[in-house]
Amino acid sequence: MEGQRDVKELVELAKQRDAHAFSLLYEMVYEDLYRMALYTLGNSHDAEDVVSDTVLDAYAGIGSLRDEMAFRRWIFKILSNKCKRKLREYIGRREHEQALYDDKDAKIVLEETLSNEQDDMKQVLDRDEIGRAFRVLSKEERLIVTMVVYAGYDSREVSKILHKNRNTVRSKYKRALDKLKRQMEKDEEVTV
Amino acid sequence: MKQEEKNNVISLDEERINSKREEAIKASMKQQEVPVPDALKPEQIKNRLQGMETKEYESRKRAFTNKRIGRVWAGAAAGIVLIAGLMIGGSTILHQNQKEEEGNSYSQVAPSGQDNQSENDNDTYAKAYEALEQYYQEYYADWENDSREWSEGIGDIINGIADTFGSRKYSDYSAGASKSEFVMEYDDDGAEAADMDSADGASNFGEKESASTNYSQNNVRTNGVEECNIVRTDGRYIYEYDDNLSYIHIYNAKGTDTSLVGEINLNSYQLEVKDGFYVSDGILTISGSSSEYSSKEENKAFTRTLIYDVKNPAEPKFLKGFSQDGSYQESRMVGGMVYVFSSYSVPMQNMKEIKQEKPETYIPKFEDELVSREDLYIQQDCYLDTYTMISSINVAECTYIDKKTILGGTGKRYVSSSHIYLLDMDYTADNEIRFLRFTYEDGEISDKTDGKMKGDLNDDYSIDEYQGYLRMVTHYYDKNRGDFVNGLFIYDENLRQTGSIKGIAEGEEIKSVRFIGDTAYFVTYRNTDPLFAVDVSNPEKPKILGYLKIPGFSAYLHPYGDNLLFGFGRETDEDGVVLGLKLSMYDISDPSDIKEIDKLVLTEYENSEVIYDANALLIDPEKNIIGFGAQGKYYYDEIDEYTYSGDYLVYAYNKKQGFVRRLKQKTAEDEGYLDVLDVKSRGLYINDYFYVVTVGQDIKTYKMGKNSFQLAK
Repeated sequence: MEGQRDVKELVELAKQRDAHAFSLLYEMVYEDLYRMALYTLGNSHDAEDVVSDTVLDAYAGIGSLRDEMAFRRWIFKILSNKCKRKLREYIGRREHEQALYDDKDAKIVLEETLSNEQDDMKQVLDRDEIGRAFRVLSKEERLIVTMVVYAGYDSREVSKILHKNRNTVRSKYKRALDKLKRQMEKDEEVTV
Repeated sequence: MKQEEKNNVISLDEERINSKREEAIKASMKQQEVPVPDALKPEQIKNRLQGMETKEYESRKRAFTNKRIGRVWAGAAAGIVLIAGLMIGGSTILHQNQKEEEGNSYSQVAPSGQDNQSENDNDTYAKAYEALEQYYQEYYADWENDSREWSEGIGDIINGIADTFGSRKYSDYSAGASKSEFVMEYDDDGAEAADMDSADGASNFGEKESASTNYSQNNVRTNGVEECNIVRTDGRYIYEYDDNLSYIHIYNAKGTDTSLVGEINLNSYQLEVKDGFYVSDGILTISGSSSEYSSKEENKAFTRTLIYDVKNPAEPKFLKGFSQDGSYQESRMVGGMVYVFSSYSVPMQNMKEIKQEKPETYIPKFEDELVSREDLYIQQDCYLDTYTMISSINVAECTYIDKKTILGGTGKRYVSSSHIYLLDMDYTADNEIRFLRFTYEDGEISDKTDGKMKGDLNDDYSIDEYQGYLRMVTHYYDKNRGDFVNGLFIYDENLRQTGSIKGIAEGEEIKSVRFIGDTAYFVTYRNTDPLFAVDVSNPEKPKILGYLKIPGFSAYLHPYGDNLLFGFGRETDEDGVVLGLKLSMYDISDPSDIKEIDKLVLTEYENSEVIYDANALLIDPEKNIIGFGAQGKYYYDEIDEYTYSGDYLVYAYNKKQGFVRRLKQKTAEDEGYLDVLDVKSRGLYINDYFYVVTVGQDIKTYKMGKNSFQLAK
C-alpha cells in the first residue's frame, strides 16, 4: 500500500513538471522498458531511441494520466506503440532498400549500413540466452511476447493495443513461446 | 477409466506443463540481466527532463494529447467502470436521433408555469444536458465501436485491471489514521460554553489588535483576498493542519512556550485537505474532499467545509458542516466570507442512466439540493463534462450566502478583490481560452460576463486587475512562426481588448509574472532567464521597457521594498540542468535598465514548495525576512551513497552583503525523496520570536536578533 501511495504522489508531482519525481517513477520501470524495446527491436540503438522517446512523451503527457496507479500500464502502452511503429519502419525500409538495390552508389552505402546493423543485432542478441532464442521469432511475435512479459499485459490488452483479434494474439503468443522453448533447448544442447 | 476421461486428464496435464513452461520462460526473461545504456539511466533521464525546453515539452504534449492515448487510458484506468458501463449499455447508448427524440419529449414534460418563450434561454438544465450529450458523442461514443469489437470477455480486462491496481478508496491513502472515537457535535452544552468563550474571546482579540503584537501574514496573491495555509497564526496561537493524522493542532505562541493547547480531530470526515485552512476572528474554516459517503455512493466525491469555534482553543467546538458535490479545488476568504470551489465530473460511464427528464442524474447538488436553474451557467465550446461549483459561506453565522455552478470553468482561476475568473480551453479556436467573470461582494456572486483570450496562463499571478483594467501575460502557439510565443494583453471593464504586445520571447516559457502598479514584470525561460519589464500605464499601448538575461529562472517574483524585486527559482547551466535553488534581487528603479544586483545559489537544494506554491513563502520586506523550506540531496560517504534532507531557511537582504542567512533549521532527513518532500515546514514570527513549524513534528523557537536568530527552544 505504501508503494502505491508513493506512485500516486509521484505522478501528482510529475504532473507539476517535477523531473525528479518523474525520474523516480521511471526508475521503477526503466529496466523492463529497455528489455522490452531491445528484445522486440533487436537493435540496441533503436531500443535506446525508442525508450528515451517514450520517456519524454510520457513526461510531457502525464497530465492526461487520470488514474495515478496505472502509470506502469500507461507508459508501456506508449512504448508498445512506438515499438510497433519502429517494426513497421523496418519492413518499409526493407522494401525501399530492395528498390534502391539497383542504384550503384546506394548499394555501397546500403551494404555498409546493413552489415553494421546486422553486427549490432548479432552482438546484442547473442549476448544472452533469451536474446539468442528471440532470433527465431517474427517481429510481431517478439512484440507480443515482450508486451506480456515486461509490460504485464494479458492477451486481451495486447490485442487491444495491436488492433488484433484476441484469439489470434493468444495463439501467436503460445506459438512464440513454443518456438522460444524449443530454441532454448537447442541452444542448451549445443552448449553442452 | 473411460477413454474420454483419460483424454481429459492428459490434456489437463499438458495444460499444466505448458503453463509451467511459460512461467519458466517468463521468469528467465525477467531475470535476464541486460545492461541498460547510460543515457537511459534514471539520473541521466532526469537531467534530460529538467533540461527539456518548453518548445519540446509543449509540442510533445500536444502531439501526445492529440493521439488521445491519455484519454484512452483515462478510460481504462480512472474510469475502469467506463468500459463496463458502455458494454452493459451496449445498444442503449444514446444516438443522435435518440437525443432529438428525448429533446422533444422533454419540452412536453417541462414544468408548467414556466414561460415557454424564455424556456430555451433559461432552461439551463436542458442546456447542460445538451452539452454533456455532445461531449459524450465526441469523446466516448467511439468506445461503442471498440467495445463491440472487444465484446468478448472485456469484463475480464476491467476486472484484471481493477485487481491489479485495486479500486481507489480514500481509506487506502489515509495514512494510518484510525477512525475517531468521537465526533464533535454542537450540542446545548457546547452552545452555552461557546457563548461564554466568545465573550472571553472578544477581549482576547482586542489584545491582538493592540500595537504590541505584530505577527507575520500569509503570503497571498491579492491583498485582502485570503488564501489557505497549513500553518497559521493569529498572533496568540499557532494552528497547524497535520495531514498524516488528519488533526488540527493549536499551540501556544507565548515567547518560548509552544505547548499544545487544543486539537480538532477530523478523522471521521476522511477529509482530503489540499491547502490548509483559515482562522479569522476565532473561527476556523477548513475545506477538503470527503469520502464519508463513499460506501453508499461510490465514485462520488464531496467537498466538505467545516467550521469550528476556536475562541477557546482548549475546547474547539464544531459549529457546522457544509457539503457540495465534487472534489475540492481551492478557496478564498474575503471579509468573513469563504468562497469554496469544487469540481464535479459527470460520470459519463453512466450515460445510459442519464436521462434528461431526471436532472438528478446530471445536475450536481449543494447539500441535498440540486443547483437551481437560475444559478447554473453553461460555458460554450469547451470540454464540458465537469462542473465548477462555488459556494459562499458567512463563517461567523454559518450560513450560505450564494451557490453558483458552471458547466465548465475547470481551467485556471483568479480571484481579484472584486471578481472571480474561471478559465477554460476553447476547442473551436486554436490556442484560445474562454473565461467567465463573476462579480462578488459580501458573498453575493453575480454579473456573469464572457471573455476570450489567446494562450494559457502560468498561474494566477499572470493575470491582474488594476484600476478597471485586466492585464495578463500568456503563452500561446504562433502558427506563422511554428513556435510558442508570449504576449501581454490588456482588457477594459467589459472585457474588450484595448491593447497588446504579441510575439514576445519566441520558444520560451513563462515562469513567473508580477504586476506592480503600472509595470508588469515577467520571467520567460529557455535556458536563460530574461526578466522583462513592460509599461502598462497606457492600456492601449503597452510597451516593453527593457529586459535582462541571466541563467536559471525565477518561479516567483515579489516586490521587496521600493525599487527592488525578489526572485525565487532555480539556477540552471546552459543545458538546462538544475544546479540548485536560486535567490535573486533585481534593482528595478529604472525598469528600462533592470539589474540583477545579487544572486545566491543554494547548490545543496533542488526543490522547494515555493516553486509551486507561493503560500509556502514567508516574505516580509519591512522586517527583512525571506523564509522557506528547501529539500535537497547530499552525499554522506565517498561511494556515492546519498540521502535527502529538508531544511527551513531564513534570509535577510542588504545591499552591502547581499543575501545573509539568519537561520537554518533541519526539518527532515531520509533516504527517500518523497519522505523528505512529505515533511512540510512553515516559518512565522510573533513579536520578537520566530517559529519554525515542522508539521506533525515540532516547533522550534528562535529569538530574532538584528543579525542572526538565536535558537531559544
